[in-house]
Amino acid sequence: MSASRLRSAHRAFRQECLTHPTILALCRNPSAVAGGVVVTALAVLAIVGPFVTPYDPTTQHLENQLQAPSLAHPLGTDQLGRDVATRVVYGARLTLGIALLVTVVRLTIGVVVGLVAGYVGGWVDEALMRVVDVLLAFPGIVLALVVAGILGPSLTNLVLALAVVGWTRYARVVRSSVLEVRERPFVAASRLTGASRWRVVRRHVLPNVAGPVVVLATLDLGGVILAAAGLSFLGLGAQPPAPEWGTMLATGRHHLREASWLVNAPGLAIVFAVLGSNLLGDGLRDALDPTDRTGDARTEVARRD
Amino acid sequence: MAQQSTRRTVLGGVGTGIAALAGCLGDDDPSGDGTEAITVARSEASQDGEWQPYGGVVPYYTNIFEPLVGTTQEMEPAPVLATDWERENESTWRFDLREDVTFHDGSVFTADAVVSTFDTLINHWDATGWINVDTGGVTAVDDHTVEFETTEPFPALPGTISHDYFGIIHPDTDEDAGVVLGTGPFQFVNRDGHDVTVEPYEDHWDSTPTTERLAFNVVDDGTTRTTALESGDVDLAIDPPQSDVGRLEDDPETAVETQRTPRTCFGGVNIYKEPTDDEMLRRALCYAVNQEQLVETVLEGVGDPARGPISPEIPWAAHDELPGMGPDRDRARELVAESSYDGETLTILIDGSEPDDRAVAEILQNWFEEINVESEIRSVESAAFYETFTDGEAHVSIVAFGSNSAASDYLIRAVFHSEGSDNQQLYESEGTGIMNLGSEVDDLIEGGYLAESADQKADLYGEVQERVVEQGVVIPLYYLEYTLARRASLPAPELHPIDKHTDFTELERGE
Repeated sequence: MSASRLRSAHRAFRQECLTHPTILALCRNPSAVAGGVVVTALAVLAIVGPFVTPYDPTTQHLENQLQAPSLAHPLGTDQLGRDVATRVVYGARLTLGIALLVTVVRLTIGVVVGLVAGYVGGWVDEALMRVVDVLLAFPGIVLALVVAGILGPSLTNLVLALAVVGWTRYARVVRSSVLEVRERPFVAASRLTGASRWRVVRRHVLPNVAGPVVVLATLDLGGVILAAAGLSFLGLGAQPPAPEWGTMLATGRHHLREASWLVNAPGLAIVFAVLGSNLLGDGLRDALDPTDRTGDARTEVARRD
Repeated sequence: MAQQSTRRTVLGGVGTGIAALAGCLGDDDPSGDGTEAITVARSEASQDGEWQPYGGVVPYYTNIFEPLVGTTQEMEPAPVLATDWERENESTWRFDLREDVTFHDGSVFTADAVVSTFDTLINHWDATGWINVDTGGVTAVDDHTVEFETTEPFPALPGTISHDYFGIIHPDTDEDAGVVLGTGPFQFVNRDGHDVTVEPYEDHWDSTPTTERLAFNVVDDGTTRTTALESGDVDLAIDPPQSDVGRLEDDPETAVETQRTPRTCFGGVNIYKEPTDDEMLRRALCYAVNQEQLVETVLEGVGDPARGPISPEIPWAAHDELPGMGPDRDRARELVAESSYDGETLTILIDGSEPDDRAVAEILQNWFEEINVESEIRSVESAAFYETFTDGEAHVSIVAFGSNSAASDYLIRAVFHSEGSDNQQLYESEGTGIMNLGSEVDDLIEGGYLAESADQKADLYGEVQERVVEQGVVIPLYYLEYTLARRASLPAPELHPIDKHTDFTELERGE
């Protein structure tokens, strides 16, 4: 492909992106933009931060313990003399990494189960949905606590515990979307032309359930960050000296009165991460929901009138 | 006509609400008879059923119940409800009882109460293996004499039954009916959930407390106990976090007392698991540790560097005779190089609910790294800690243990004897254990256990301590102290090495 063709293709792609109704709707939503900025900033921090900070997150300097914020240590030092800002930055990598991994695992399990249940139907649907019902009958965080408690504390087990309990909502959403999509004429037409079941699912069903799933995943991200930090706070997740935000909170709370920065820094990081992903998720939901967009348009027309 | 809410009325309402709430929270007069209680914040809560024989009241601190034998400041047995005791033969003990004692309902204390108490408590705590007395092993000789028949020769019986668990309980004590009857200087007034209020028992055989009334409030979290003390909600706080001690000392409104306990925190090394089965490596780990820095960093100075596994508060501790092993990282590196260690990752096991243990483990991990030994921290919840430890899953376990009675023999037996509770499981199933060095040490422990004289006991147990330290079976960390913080207007209560025996009998609120 020549350079000029590549450039024009890139221009066309950019044009299409910028004028895509979802992107446009997202950009018009200030909350979504704010959420996007926060999430992007945290992601950049997680990727770039470790290359910028001069300190190691686990190396101890016992002579430097519990130093108040200063130029050398903008967020102070902890009980073992480690730079809190460095640990928060490395913690972003760890906490967001865990949250992303858990969300992807949940999403994958949920989408597969939902697709199979919705598309195959019959006793398979019944059996899978009863499993979902049973799992939904337990409060998610309590079940995660039990699973993490049984498996023992470690990052791997934390991911497993959170993934095991959270996929059911994806399965429900995907199943209901599949039930609706599979009755549409274009799916019937595809079947009549001899398309295999897998091809129908891949070409027609999956693209039509992608929207709700993406929205759910974005909204879920905040909850997963909170749950992961919560389990680590209770000692069931990341193990010391890993700079995970929940673990940092758990250690820092014992020095709350004398060194509040130990709690403030990871606490605020969790707040921003959860708030950012929730705002972005809300914005995405509004942007991807055609009914909502119509509603917005009607409101705008009404206002103009 | 509906009244309009102005900002002033809303703020006024909120203010009144807060004032009312504060009034409720600050109620020091649960009885309503005008006497003001000294409120003590403590952490022990009464779990369902666990304290049922004591009428649902935790028998610590409250001084409602008294044992036959008490514990002196020197951790020796001393008469309380028993005036004297004598070993009649290898397994029979005779205790003479005080004759001027009455229970809080006025009934006379006799041998029958001792018999019924021990029958109930041996059964409740499954305590035969501990005090070596079966249910039915205590009999009344006459109204003021009882005999204990032990299952094996047990010279440490008087000290062992000085534990708070063996306070004498009136047979009519009934948790459901709210009847709690002991013979102690304080008598039960009421219980509200985990909180207990007591008042002086005027007819106590020894002396009547001058403290008007005591309210024990359960406040689990140490930081919250500090806050409650600083705000004046409580008058005394037991064991505030070490990180708060400096501030409480600086505050003219509060004062702090500390007391060393018969408890030690150490790293228990699994001598049967590779690579810590190599004595050279174990000694290297000991040389890597700077106990003084640990005390300063983790305990903020509230504690003492340890040289052995037994606190000097215990009469037969060999602290002074034990060799200090560090810190000498160069020596430690040499030992590592000479050992069979080949880069394996050691596991440091901690109880995740103990914040100090987490910090200790992180620092140890750092020091081990400095001597080229890799390690990882495994934090498990309290309920799973002991099982993980005795299953031998870790190389080094951070353990804090000590005695709550005048007989601490069970400590050395539990940890270093092959059939002690820490080693028994693996010793019986695989012929190994955790920290048991073998038959020679077992014989020394058994000799000390049966020793008739204190010197003989100290010699035999001293040799056990020397061996376990020299062979790196334990990594001594620190001897624990406990802290009691109070409002400066209160006199300091008399502290005891066993924190649960703090004397609250002479507390009068000053101006």
